[in-house]
Amino acid sequence: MTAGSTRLPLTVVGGYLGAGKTTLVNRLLADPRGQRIAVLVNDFGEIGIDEVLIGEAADDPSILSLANGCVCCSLAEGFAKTLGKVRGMAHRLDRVVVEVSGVGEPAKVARWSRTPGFSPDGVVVVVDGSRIGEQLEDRRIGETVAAQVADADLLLLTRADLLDDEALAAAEAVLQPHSSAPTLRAPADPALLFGLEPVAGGSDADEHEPRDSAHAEHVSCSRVLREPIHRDTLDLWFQVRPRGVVRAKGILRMDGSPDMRSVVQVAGNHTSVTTSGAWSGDEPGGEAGAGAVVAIAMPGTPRAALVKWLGMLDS
Amino acid sequence: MGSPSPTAIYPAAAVHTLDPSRPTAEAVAVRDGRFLAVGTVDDLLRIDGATVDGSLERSVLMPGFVEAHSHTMAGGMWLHTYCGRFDRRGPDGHVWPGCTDLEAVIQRLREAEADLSAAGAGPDEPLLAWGLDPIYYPGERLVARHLDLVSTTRPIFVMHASCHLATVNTALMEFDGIGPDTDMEGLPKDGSGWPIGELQEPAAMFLADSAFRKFWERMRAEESLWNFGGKARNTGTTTLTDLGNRSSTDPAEIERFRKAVDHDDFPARLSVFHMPTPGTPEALEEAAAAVVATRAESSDKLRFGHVKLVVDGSIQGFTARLRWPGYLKGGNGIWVVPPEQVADILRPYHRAGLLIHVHCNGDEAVDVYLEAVEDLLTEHPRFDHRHTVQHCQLTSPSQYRRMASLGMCANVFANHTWFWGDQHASETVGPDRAARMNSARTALDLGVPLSMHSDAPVTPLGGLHVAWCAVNRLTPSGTVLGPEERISVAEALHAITMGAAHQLDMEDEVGSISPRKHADLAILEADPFTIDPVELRDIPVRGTMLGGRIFEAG
Ligand SMILES: Nc1nc2c(ncn2[C@@H]2O[C@H](COP(=O)(O)OP(=O)(O)OP(=O)(O)O)[C@@H](O)[C@H]2O)c(=O)[nH]1
Ligand SMILES: [Mg+2]
Ligand SMILES: [Zn+2]
Ligand SMILES: [Zn+2]
Repeated sequence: MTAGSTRLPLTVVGGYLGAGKTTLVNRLLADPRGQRIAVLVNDFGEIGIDEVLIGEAADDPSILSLANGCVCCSLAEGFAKTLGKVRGMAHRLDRVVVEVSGVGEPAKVARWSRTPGFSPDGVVVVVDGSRIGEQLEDRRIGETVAAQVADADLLLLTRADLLDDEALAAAEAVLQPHSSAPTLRAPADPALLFGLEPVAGGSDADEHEPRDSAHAEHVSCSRVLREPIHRDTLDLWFQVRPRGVVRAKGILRMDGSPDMRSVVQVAGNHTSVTTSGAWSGDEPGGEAGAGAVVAIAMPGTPRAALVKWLGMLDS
Repeated sequence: MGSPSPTAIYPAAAVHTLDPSRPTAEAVAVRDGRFLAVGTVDDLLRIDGATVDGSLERSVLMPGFVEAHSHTMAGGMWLHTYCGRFDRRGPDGHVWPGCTDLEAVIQRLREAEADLSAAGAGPDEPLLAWGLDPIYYPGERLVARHLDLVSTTRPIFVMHASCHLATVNTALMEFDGIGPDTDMEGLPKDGSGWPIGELQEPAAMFLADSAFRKFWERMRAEESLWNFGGKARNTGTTTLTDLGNRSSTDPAEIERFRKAVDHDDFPARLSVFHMPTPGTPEALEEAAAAVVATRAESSDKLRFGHVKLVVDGSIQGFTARLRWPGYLKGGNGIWVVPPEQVADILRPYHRAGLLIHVHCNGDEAVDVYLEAVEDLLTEHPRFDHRHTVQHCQLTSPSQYRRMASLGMCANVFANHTWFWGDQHASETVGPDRAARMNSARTALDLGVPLSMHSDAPVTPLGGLHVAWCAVNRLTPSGTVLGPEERISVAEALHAITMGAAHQLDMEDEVGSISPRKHADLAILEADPFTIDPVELRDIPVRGTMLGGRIFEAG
């Protein structure tokens, strides 16, 4: 159905009421890095969708308002309709971000990213660092918050600005039993949360120029590939990613389907491979190559570890 | 002064007014669509210009039933093929026998397929069905292989009763490109990697894009509302609710309701509740003002301006929020809105003087709602607000007492005892708590104004069935579930008429046969006050009178 057309990466942003989801999404919209982004705000329960906002970089920054169904199950129709609409606009979009309601289940919403026209781009769960301890203990909302945290591929700890190191460490410690996802502290570079595009050309293990001085500490690295990749190599590569890797993305050729563009995604704990149309030759790495990968890691991650890891794909 | 409008006197086999000042009568007199008086025929004949209409003389008359919790979807479902476990009567009066096993489901679909083909439907036109509830077929599972026996060419989409699951056939999967390569949670596959045809949760259903959307689009078709009205007429119901409509302030939506409900031939009144969306205080303030403005759009038959919020899920779906000890299998349900946000969402509506109903199935959800109402009343006291707990299934005596103190009402989901009572005892909460569920007796004893509902289409519309459940508390396995919580026939009939009218703020207009109220009747073929209470639900309904006009059941 979608062979030949591109699939829009869909990122899910979840987290309890007031955690800072909209703040994060607004940061992304304020600095979309040239990407055209559709944001869906899911305000009600797990499946209602209220409106679609299109990021500044879109050709047509229109706001689509959507009428909803009434009973809970018919809200799903609202979501289906919205996604149908977004799919229809795919040619003028680069990605979709869905903000889940404060009690929504992010993993359930993420399932929609496997429907035609979309590709999963991970689940970011936003956690209020100043409240997470008490929230997880709360008789009423504890299970809800714990389940959201467990759904995360990446965790973002907000209100870090209000906390001292001890409190931050304490917040990270209470998250640990619930998730092995990398935990970033707000404000984080949107590129960490929503990924970077592999760049064309460039030498082996070329370090990106930091784009935002506040985030200069993050380590990033890219590599152009010469040969199509074997699936087993990729699976192994996923497994041995160095600690601290937050994001990686590759647009490359697999040896099983060298004529297709395969999109490889790592978002914290989330990994996926999807195909997205035919290999055109315009992909990063040039016509003769087999694509490129880029990775970003937490501050303090040894760059050598990243270089070695990306090198695995080209040996 | 001209002569008064014509007055019709309807003598009946019995008239139960549900008005304690004059509980029974020989006949009712109707003028200008309202009850003018009740009494003996002789008394009523003294009214200037009154004439006798004998058409109801063999029937038993009651005030038309008031359903204080239903959804218009209950009409739309009938645009799809019914394949539920229990007999169900369609809006046209046709009784669809319950499918007692999966073989019967397949047979039902075969007939529907033949009908579709005979009606000239194109080969890609999907066959859509509803109401399948696998909880009744333990050990069996409907999969594509079964549906392929119905058709190998026409797409088939069967929505389960919970709306969380659908089963589709191979033709549909081929049509929508669902195959071994489709990688999705909620799309179970067989040993060889092929999807078995089950789509779990809406995201997976969306893979069957065209059928899934068509299923819901039909819910908004004009015919859907008319079917809902037909269901009302067939069950003696004269006042319906659409309990929770997110678009109820949208002029196009209002017009859609007007076009059907205000039509002279539409056989029921309808109160459409607004379902708020959480938002900033300013956005909520604005939304509340918009709801207040919709009150001006109301007519004698169509009502706008009340509010409905959902706090938790359902008990049979294990998603209602329970207090300790939770579900038998452990764990707890889900919040549909954050519990600490309930008061904030309701505040502007409460302050604007609107009536609020909140869906709380589990007792923890009830706590959250009661705390919110207590806060709101402390901030902004109101007389006679009638804020209502909807479903109220596991509410404890102390919660009922608190509701009484706060001036709140209960609308109890009595039908559950029959439809899921056995499952509540064995699967969800165990026999002890199941026996205490939907405790209408406790509610009444503690002074909480009571109504009872069907939540159609969750269970079939029909006041007599609801009353039968509360009076008998029988389950399909023959158990009397919680005999102490049974209520009398009179109490049950009050709940489905005056009790419901009170909670809809309509008791001055409907709910009893009293002078000046709308001439709305349930026309019955037997007397619910004298029949064996076990037969309450079997009383044939001849139809209704709405505003003085008789509507014969289909
Ligand atoms: N100090 C501080 N405030 C923050 C941070 N992130 C968010 N906030 C504030 O927290 C409040 C809630 O933030 P939102 O972004 O609206 O939270 P949300 O998760 O979208 O909230 P809901 O959609 O209502 O569940 C706002 O007042 C934000 O300005 C942060 O990192 N530091
Ligand atoms: Mg938000
Ligand atoms: Zn409900
Ligand atoms: Zn309902």
